[in-house]
Parts: sequence; C-alpha cells; structure tokens
Amino acid sequence: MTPAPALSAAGLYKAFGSTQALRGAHLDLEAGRVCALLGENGSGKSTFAKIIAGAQGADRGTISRDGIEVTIDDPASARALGIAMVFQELSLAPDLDVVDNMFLGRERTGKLPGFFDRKSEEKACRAMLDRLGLTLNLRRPIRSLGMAHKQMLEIGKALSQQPAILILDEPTASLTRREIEQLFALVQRMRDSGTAILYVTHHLREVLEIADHVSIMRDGRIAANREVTRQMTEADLVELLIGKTARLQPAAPVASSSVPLLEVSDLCTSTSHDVSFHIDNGEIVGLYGVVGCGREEIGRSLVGLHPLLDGTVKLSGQTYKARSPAHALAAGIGFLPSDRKQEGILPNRSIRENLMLSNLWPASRGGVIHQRRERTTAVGQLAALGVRFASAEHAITTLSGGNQQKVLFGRALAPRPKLLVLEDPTAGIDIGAKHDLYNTIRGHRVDGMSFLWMSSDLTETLTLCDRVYAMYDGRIVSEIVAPTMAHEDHLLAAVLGRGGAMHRI
Amino acid sequence: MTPTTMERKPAASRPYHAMARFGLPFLIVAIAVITGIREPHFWSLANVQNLARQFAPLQILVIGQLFALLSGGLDLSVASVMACSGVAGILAVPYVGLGGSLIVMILVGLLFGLANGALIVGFSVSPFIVTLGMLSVAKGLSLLFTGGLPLYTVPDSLVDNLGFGAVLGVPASSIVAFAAMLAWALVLRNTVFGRHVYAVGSNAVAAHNSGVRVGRVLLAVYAISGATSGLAAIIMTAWVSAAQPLAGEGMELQSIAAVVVGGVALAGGSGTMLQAFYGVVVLGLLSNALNMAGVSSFLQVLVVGVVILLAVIVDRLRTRAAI
Repeated sequence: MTPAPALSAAGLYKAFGSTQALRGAHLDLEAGRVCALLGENGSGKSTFAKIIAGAQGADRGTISRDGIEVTIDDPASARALGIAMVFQELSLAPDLDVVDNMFLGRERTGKLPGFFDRKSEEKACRAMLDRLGLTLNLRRPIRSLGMAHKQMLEIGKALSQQPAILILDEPTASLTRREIEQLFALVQRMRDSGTAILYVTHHLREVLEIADHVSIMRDGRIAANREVTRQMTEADLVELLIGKTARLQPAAPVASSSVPLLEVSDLCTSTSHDVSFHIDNGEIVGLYGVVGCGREEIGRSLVGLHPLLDGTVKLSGQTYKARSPAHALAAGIGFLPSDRKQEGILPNRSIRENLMLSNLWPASRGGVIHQRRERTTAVGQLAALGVRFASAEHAITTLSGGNQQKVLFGRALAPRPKLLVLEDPTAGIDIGAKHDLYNTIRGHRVDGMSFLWMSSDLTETLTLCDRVYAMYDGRIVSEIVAPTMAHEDHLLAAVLGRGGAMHRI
Repeated sequence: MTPTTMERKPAASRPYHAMARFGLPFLIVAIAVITGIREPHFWSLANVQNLARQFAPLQILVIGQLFALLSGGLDLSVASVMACSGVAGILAVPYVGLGGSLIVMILVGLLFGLANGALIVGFSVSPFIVTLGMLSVAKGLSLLFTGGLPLYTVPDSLVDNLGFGAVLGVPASSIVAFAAMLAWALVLRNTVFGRHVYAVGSNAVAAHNSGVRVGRVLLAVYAISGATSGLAAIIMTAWVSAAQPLAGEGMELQSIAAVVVGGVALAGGSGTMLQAFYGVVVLGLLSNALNMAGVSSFLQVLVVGVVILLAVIVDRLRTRAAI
C-alpha cells in the first residue's frame, strides 16, 4: 500500500460573491516532490493555495494531512501543521525591518518571557539571506526595498519555518533569471530533504525546470494531471492549458523615424551613472538587468518618482524633466508600477473606477463626469483587455491578481501616452493574458505609441522588444538591435557583468 | 461529484449589504414611530421644525468631515473653526454690514481650511496632528477676540430669517443645510474631483502614480471642510442669536461619529453623503427621543456611545463579509 499523501485537498468549493472560484478541486501533494499547479488567471489556483495555507476558508471540502483529516482555520493552524506559503501579494509589514519581518508572528523569545532574542534572530536571518544569495542591511525597513528583494524575503520567511509542506504562489513574478536560479536550487534542496512542494505558476518553462508533476486548473477544477518527463515541451503544456496550440510570435521590426521620441543623455540617479539611450516613435525598448542594477530608478526618474541627479532628457526634441507622474502624463509619459497592491490598485473602489482613474477627462465635461459614457467606455475597454469580470461595479479586489493587472494596464494605456514606462507588466499574468497584452502593445505601437519595457522575463523581453539595453551595476553595458532568443546567452552574460566593454550588436 | 448540480451559494455579504443600505433608514423610522406612539408631541410641527433646526449645523459640518474622512484623513478643527468664523463675522458687522459679515464667516473658515491643507500637504504631517493644532489655534483666537464672552450683536434680520424663519413650514436653516449637502454630494458623485477624493483615500500612492495630483486634492478637501465650517457658523449664530467663542464644542467628535455611524469607512476611500446624512439623523433623533422619554442626560451620553460602537462593529462585519 502506498503511503497517504502528505497533504490531500478534496472537493474544495469557494465562492466570492457571485463568482465561483473553486468547484470541487482535488489535489494530492507527496513528500519529496514538486507539484506544479498551472492555470490561467481566475482559474482558482491562488484561491486553492490560500485555502491550504489557511489564508482563506473553503465553503466546502476536506483537507487531510498524512491521511488524517484536519481543519485549517487560519495561517497559524496551517503553520502548526507544517504548512508555509509564499504569497503572491506580499505579506510583509512595510515599516518593519528585514529581521522583524522574517520572524513576524514567531519571534524568538530570549531569557525574559515576552522579550525577543535579537542576536539569535539576526544570526538566523543572515544565514537565510546567504542561502538566498542576498546581501542586505538587516535593519533596513521593507518599504525601502525594491520589489524583487521583497519577494526574495517573502520566500526566505517561508523557508525559515522549515515547513513539511511549502506552497509557492507565483514566486518568480518579479525576479530575474539569476534570482530564479538561486530559488530553484533552494527548492530542489528542500524537495530532496522530503518537503512536499506546491508550485503555483503560469510560467511553462518553470514547470519543465522544477516540477515532478503538473496539475492543470481550469474553471475551479483540476482538469488534467501529468508527470513531468524529459520529453515534455512547452507546447505540450500550452495544449493542456488552453486546449489549443499557441506560439509566441517574434515582433516585426518597425521603421524608425528621424527624431527620437525620447533621448536620454548621461543620466545619473542614486543608483546609475551616465546612462544614455533613446526610444523612437512606435518602438518597444527593453531595459534588462538583475535586481539592483539601477533600471527601476531610471524608469521612475522619467515620471518624477525618483530624483534625477544629472544628465538631460529630451522628449520629442524638447528638454523634459518630470516633477510628478501627473506632470509626466500631461507631457505624454505614462507609468505602470510593478507593486500592484501597494502602488497600483484602489482596493475599495470598483473595477470601473480603477480602470478609468487616469482617463476621466474625456468622459466628462467641465469636470462633471458623464456617468453613462464612462460606464460604456469602461465595459468596452474591459472586454478589449480580456478581463474576466462579473460586473464592472464590483470591487477590484474580487478579481484575481492577473485580471487586476489587466485593469491596471488598461488604466495606463487609456490616456494614450506617447511613451509608456512599464515595470514588470506581465508579472502574475497567465500565458493567454500575456498574448492579449503583447497584441495590445503591438497594436498601439503601430499607432506610434512607444514603450519602455522593464520586465524580469528574459524570453518576452527578447521576443517582444525592438531593441534591448542590458544594464549592469548602474550602467548600460550592451545594446541588442532586433533581438531574438539566440541572444539569450549574450544578454545573460551582459547583465551579470561578464560581457566585457560596452558593445552593440 | 457532479458540478452541474452545484447551485450558486448566496453571497455571505448580502445580509450586511442589506443592513448597510436599509438598516439605518429602518432604524430612523423605528425610532420615530416608537417615540411618536409614546409621545404624540414628537410629531407636532413645532418639534419637527425644532429638530430640523437642531440638525442643521451638524448637517453642514458633516460635509467637510465626510470629505476629510473619504480622502483618508479627518478634520478635528471643524467645530472650533466654526466658532471662530462666527466670532469674526459678527465682529465685522459694523464694518462690512450683514451681507459682508456672512462672506467673512465663509472666508475665515476657508482660510483655516487652506492652512490645514497647506500644512498637511506641504510638510506631509498627519491630518490628525495638524487639525488638532488648528482646533486649538482657532479656539485661542476666538477667546482672544471676545475676551471669552459671547457676542450678542447678531443682526436681528439674520436671527429672524435664517435662525427662526421658515418657507412653507420648512426652516430656512434646514433648507440651507440640505442644499449644501446636495450640492457637495453631486460634486462627490459626479465630478472628476470627487472621484479623485475617493482614489486618494483608497490608495494615495496608486493615485499619485496614476497621475492624480494628490496634493491639490487634499488641499481642496481641507479647504472645503473649512468653508463648510464657515457656512455652519452662519447657521449657528443665527440659531443661537449669538457668536460664542466656544460654540459647538465637541461637535468635531459628533461629526466624526455621525459619519462613521452612517457607515463611511474610517480608513477612507468609501462612503457617500447619504450615509453621512443618515448618521446625523440617527444621532440627532436618538438624543431627541431620549430627551422626550425623560432619560437622564448622563444616560443619554452613554447610549450615544454604545450606538457609535455598534456602528463600528457593523462596519467591520460588513467589510469582512465583502472581502
């Protein structure tokens, strides 16, 4: 007789208002194996994971641990059962520092009851950061860290509990290749030491790299189960996922005009030096680099969210310096931030209001909003973006993370900026939605809209962009014109500082 | 397991939603009916008119408080700014006449509001501290200018027309209050500015990133709060026939309580003028009903406190169900 699975969830049902997120999902997790849970936005993957981790309660269904039925009411009871989860929406306290976050809710007590043992916490925290390959000041508040660092810390927080069952929900959403490799090495070590791992993702490549088993979730149910074999390809997974074949089409190069839309010369920010680049009308330009390379600050300095210390920026030949995102938008530069929860959504407002936030003036006269026009515009745009929603009047938080991202993308596109600065626009979006997004971007490019694409996804950066700049340690070290997947090794070497002197290919 | 037999579960949030939409109006009717049965005098024109006049100042103060709460802050200075505006206006009567004095009241309120807004935005200080300081500044100025004594030099025509006048039985002060509430409700509901107030209260960083000029929105919010305090000063001085340096003490907390009892989120970003109005009526009606029932004023204070706490608990249950 085979041993009972480490964790078994059977017949899980969960509804949010009128949306039925789970309809009888069943999944087993076995010790020492990585199970990937793959599905489109809104298919219920995150809900499933959150129920196992105790972050949400199921309406119906049973969960068994080693064959014994258990009740998981809250994250604390899940933790007591040896279950730890890395949330897609980060659960870090922004004003607490690195160490305090790592031990939040399970502080190590010292000799005096109620007082925690700072020394031992710091030591354990440093050891965990080393395993994650991070060098950070332990007393830095989380607020001051970039998205990727936050995500790595979130992972470290879960790993430091030494769980028997580890749930990772889109852990690589804003990580670059180097951090992903570090993470995978850690996950493999945990698996080999007997941890059961549930890996929620929609990155097909990650499934093939890390998983032993893949379960496909569709409409709140597990639609297929497969062992991951060496022969399995991404195309197989796509077929399982959406039941049809889809290929990522390389972008067609676009003819460049004579005057660049944006010309950046010798730009300096707190983390970068003498950065020069340009973006032509109708061009998608990628800026790629590992965490801490300084690209985030460059993007933000273009919309007035980060101080620009030196250098000049010209927009359509005119000197330009952004004072605020509102000012940048008026000049024609839009912005989509990567931290959806903290910097993107209006949590207690409707989908419609979230979508229309940057584009209210066209739907109004003399500052008074034309309600019906606004509603029709919103519903039309939501349909065009492929958002799955019950009603545009529901709170945006009733949508899955990926659908929220589509709404925010729609918000950024709606004012039709000349240039849109995108920070990780496809983080947490499934493959179908990504294709929709790529197509939307290409459609707007034909109309002359340009994009500064700062994704952590190497594949999409190489296939979508017309040109890619590689950044390393605050400088641009390489430029690739008309990139293809063949440039993968070159780009990786460049962003890791192994590319030699600045060159252009 | 056949999923086709799975019926849609009714959303758990429905009962609470229903409570939010119809609970307060129902409570208002219930209080009115019960009190009316016990005390037929309750339904007399005199008492209803009296009630409406009593409500009017708080009704106007609540407008500014609602804007402040929706934008994610609060305004503790509304009552003392109202008192100070009243004092300034009445002191100005000999120089600018009655009409001018009314404008002075609104302008003084507006200036206090702009000062609040400028400090909050310019120095990124929390509205709690800034408006707490302004509460004291306004009160101190009122006391200095009056020597601590009420000014009884309120023009008779103001008292007669606005304080005790009525059009077709509806008190003039009540008409002003309802008109102000309606006008600002429309601003909140139908304008780009109103939408931006909600956006800032819901997530100021996201609003900023999306091109909303958060600083200007907040400045406008506190300016509105100040100006409506000035308007409340007009009604208040007309009604009590005096400009008292300590008029409406405690009304800053009453206004917050009314808005919250109405179901507006304390954390900002969600709520309507109608909810704020319900809150005013529930609190006002409750104290009137308790008065008529002969409940001691000490016990009244306690009952009002319990109602506020209940409202907060209901608000929590509702938001939890909605998540």
